[in-house]
Amino acid sequence: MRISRSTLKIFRDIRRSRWQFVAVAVVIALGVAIFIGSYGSFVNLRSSYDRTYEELDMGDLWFDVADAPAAVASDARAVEGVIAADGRLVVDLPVTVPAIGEGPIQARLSTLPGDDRPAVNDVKVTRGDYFTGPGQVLLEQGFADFNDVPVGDAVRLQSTDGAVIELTVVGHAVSPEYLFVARSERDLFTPPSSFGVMFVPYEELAPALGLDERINSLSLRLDPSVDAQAISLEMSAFLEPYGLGAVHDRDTQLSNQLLQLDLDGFESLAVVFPILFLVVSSLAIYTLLNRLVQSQRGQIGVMRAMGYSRGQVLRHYLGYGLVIGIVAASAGVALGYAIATLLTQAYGSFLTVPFISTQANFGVLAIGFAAGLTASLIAAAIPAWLSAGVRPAEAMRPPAPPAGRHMLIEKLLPPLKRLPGVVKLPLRNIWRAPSRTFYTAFGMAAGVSLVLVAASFLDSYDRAIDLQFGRIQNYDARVNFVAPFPTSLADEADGIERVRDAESLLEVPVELSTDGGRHATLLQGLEADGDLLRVYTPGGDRLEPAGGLLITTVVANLLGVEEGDSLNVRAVVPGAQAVSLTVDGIAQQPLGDVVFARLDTAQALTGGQPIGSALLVSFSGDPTPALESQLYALDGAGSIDFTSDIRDYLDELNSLFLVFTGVMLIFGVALGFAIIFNTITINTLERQRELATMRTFGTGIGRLASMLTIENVVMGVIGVVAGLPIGYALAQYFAQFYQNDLFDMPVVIYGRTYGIAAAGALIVLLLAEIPAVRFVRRLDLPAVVREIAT
Amino acid sequence: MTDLAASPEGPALAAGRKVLVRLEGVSKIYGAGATELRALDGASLDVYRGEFIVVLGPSGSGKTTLLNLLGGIDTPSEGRIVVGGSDIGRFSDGQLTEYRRRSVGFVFQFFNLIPTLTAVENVELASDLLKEHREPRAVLEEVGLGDRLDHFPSELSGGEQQRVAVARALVTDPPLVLCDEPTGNLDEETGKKVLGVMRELGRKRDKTFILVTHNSVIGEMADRVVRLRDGRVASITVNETPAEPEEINW
Ligand SMILES: Nc1ncnc2c1ncn2[C@@H]1O[C@H](COP(=O)(O)OP(=O)(O)OP(=O)(O)O)[C@@H](O)[C@H]1O
Ligand SMILES: [Mg+2]
Repeated sequence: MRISRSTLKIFRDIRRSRWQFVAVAVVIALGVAIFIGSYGSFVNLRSSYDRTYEELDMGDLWFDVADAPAAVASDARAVEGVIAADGRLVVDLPVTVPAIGEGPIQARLSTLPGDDRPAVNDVKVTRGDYFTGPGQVLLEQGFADFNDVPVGDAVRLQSTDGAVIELTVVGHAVSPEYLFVARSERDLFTPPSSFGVMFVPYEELAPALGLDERINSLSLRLDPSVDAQAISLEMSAFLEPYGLGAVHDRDTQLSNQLLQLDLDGFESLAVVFPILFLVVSSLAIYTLLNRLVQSQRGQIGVMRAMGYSRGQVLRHYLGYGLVIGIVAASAGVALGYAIATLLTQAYGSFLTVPFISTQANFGVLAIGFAAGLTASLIAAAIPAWLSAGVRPAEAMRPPAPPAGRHMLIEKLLPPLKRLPGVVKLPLRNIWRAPSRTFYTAFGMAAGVSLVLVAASFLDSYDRAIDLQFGRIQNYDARVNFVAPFPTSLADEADGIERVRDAESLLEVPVELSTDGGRHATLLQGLEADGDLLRVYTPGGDRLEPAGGLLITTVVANLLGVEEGDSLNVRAVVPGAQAVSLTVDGIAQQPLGDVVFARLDTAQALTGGQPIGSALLVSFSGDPTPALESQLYALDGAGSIDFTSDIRDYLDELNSLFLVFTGVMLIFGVALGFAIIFNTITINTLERQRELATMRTFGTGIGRLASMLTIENVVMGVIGVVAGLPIGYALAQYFAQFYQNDLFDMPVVIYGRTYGIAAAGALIVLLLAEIPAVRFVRRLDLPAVVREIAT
Repeated sequence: MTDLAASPEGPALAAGRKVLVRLEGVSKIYGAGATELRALDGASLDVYRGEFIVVLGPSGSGKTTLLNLLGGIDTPSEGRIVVGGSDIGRFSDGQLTEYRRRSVGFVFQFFNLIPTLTAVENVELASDLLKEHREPRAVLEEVGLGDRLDHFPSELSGGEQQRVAVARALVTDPPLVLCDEPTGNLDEETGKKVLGVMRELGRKRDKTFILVTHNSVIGEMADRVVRLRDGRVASITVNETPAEPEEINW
């Protein structure tokens, strides 16, 4: 079957202006690819977690108890809807890991059956073996990797009676409960150098703790069809006599909750950012097709006069959008699939997810394809609609030459008239073809703002880290104590060689309440004239607590309070009374959920003793084993967090975000490049008649090229100037997707970034002049003139 | 020649011939008030099946406007244009499309061809619209372009392009063919050839041709010559014995 001539015309027209069509197709393909790449890897990541939970029998309910007989697990198993139950001991103990240093670190020890796999919360052994005999331990893989603890090494833990138990590392393992390792809700960013998860045989730990046949943690797997809430209540009542503590389901299981938070932000970005791309790309298609329809008014008239109906003409011009859409969306699907696979593999290698799924998700591919096609068709709809409205009799009258006009500014500024023609003509053209000026400026603005949005992620992250570690956290190490210590210990620490300064910090879990609501958080009591932990306003001014509280912007919003208001503060310790404190100021806190007060205020909340719970220490030079052991020698020191470790750890934690952002930036740059290139090329191509005519009059190529360049640069500068604030506004909008209660990043774009984006856009614009000038040079004058005649 | 301006139907002509299109006091008005311009001003004319009409008149006298109205690509401001009993001035867009598709062939003064389609493809663009149509290549051969079928418009001379346009108008075999300056770019010989093709088709297939031209000599081969002046039908001249195209002196 032969294709209809109107369809053939579409292909021929596209071939004739192939570079313009290729350029817009690239733009759409990039939009589709970034959607599939980011959303596809989001879906892969989510299903990798799900698969891991599935394969490793992740629990559905967790119950902490003070002390219960191991037999409660069998009782739980008898409950209708419970598939499996597992009782174990979970304790935090100081453990010495020689690979890290002499001093103990804090370890979360979780028991597993020595002779068998657990029925709930199994582990995947990634290196070495599962327990084969007594005296063995499995290390959580992230911890082992971070600290380079090989299989075969030893760790030492102290039992309650003071005896030292030496355990051999028999393997590294990943646990579904610790895909994201955090000490507690209050202490999320715990570097693996001072906190780690270890799995020991129950038969090993229970006797050491004097807890034979006892458990303090029960986890259950449930039949998916049952009411988890009801079972949770039933089990809670059953466990009440054993000192029931926290009860968690998956939604509140810490690791899962944090992953979910991460995934949610990722998902929003993976949707919204591509939408921005597609919107910008459909504007590019719209521009192209709109100009096509304008330039084909005569042809449309002829077709209508021949008897093509309005609908046929409309479909004809929609056809251009359809062809671009199909080609571009297909290319985008292929590219996006490759990106999703690469990204998934990349993060699979640095996240400790044992089961990675990289399967093509046909739903995502189909949505990406449909989105690309729809964007193209929507973009084609308006030009197509306009084409169908063309009145044939009018369309076929010879086009009136554009009205020659003096520019208004020429009247206002007469000296402009004396400008040389090579400058004056381009300025007049800009004035005379406002829609072209608008499109060009718009293309530049879109390119610049896309780059700025992507770059703002990196700048904001950089600024947050800088704020946290360059200004707020002014200490080099934080020594955590197993029990509160007298503040006089700070003087002792001051005396250690190389220590410059030591300050006491008292951390108190508190509940803040107002009429508007309540919020549980951690209060940090700071020494009155201390300098190691500083607090700043969002504007960057130093804040110091008087007798009241400094709260973060996040908490202020949550509770609806302002500076000067008062809050009820209650320490979450038995018997503590609520006191009313004034809000002394509102602080910007990029990481974590904390509030601040003076040390004495914090002490008053917990009974008025002059105590601290951690020491902040600054020292000269790098941390050394000698310094470390002197700090551990302080009475009651439990673990040390070095600021440099936390900083490294944060970069690692955020690597997914950073990789994703990097990819976005590359795409933003590519898209910006394509759009600017596109606009400039179209500008030149659509004027081939005008240019050919000028050449037949004898205008030299050099002169034409300079005029074109001046014209485009002036329009481009207008676009760049508009694009900078647009980019900032868009960055503000996008920030909401990665900000949450735990990570409150200020939105910043560095001056340097503005400069690079603007300069880059202008360079692309100048590069785009190269094909334009070549095009002018190669213009087939006779052919163009002949077509003018028709 | 007889001047029939007073009685446009002319008894001799009216006898035994069917009216294809009847214009009754048709006006086309552009603008309003002071800038009002009557491109056509109360024109009346009967067009018979199978006749060959040449329309003459100075530039701006309304010739193209008249053709556009007859061809259904423009609508009159006043008056009626009756085809087969209905007033096409009251046609919906769909009806007009159907009318243009089946009943009219157009050769335009400007904007002839689609630049990205070859000669034969340009003709096929029109024939695509109808199931029943003439063979595009054959029609192109008739107008003397058998060896230019696969050339693009930019590879054809002005006259060749004009002939492609003529072939495109004829390929759907319409009863009414409207030509705006079809010979304007042609040399004498080719011009005569194209006119000969039209004349013959008109006779053989009983087609009506209305041809606008500035070349008054072409009037010699017409059945009737309509002269326009300021949008009015100034005169209608009947040619009892039209000349053959090859006999006229360009
Ligand atoms: N869309 C329009 N708006 C305003 N005036 C118009 C329009 N179309 C035609 N006219 C005017 O109507 C008059 C008749 O135009 P038309 O094109 O019919 O002339 P013509 O006889 O074909 O002339 P030529 O021999 O130069 O082609 C002219 O004065 C023209 O300026
Ligand atoms: Mg005309």
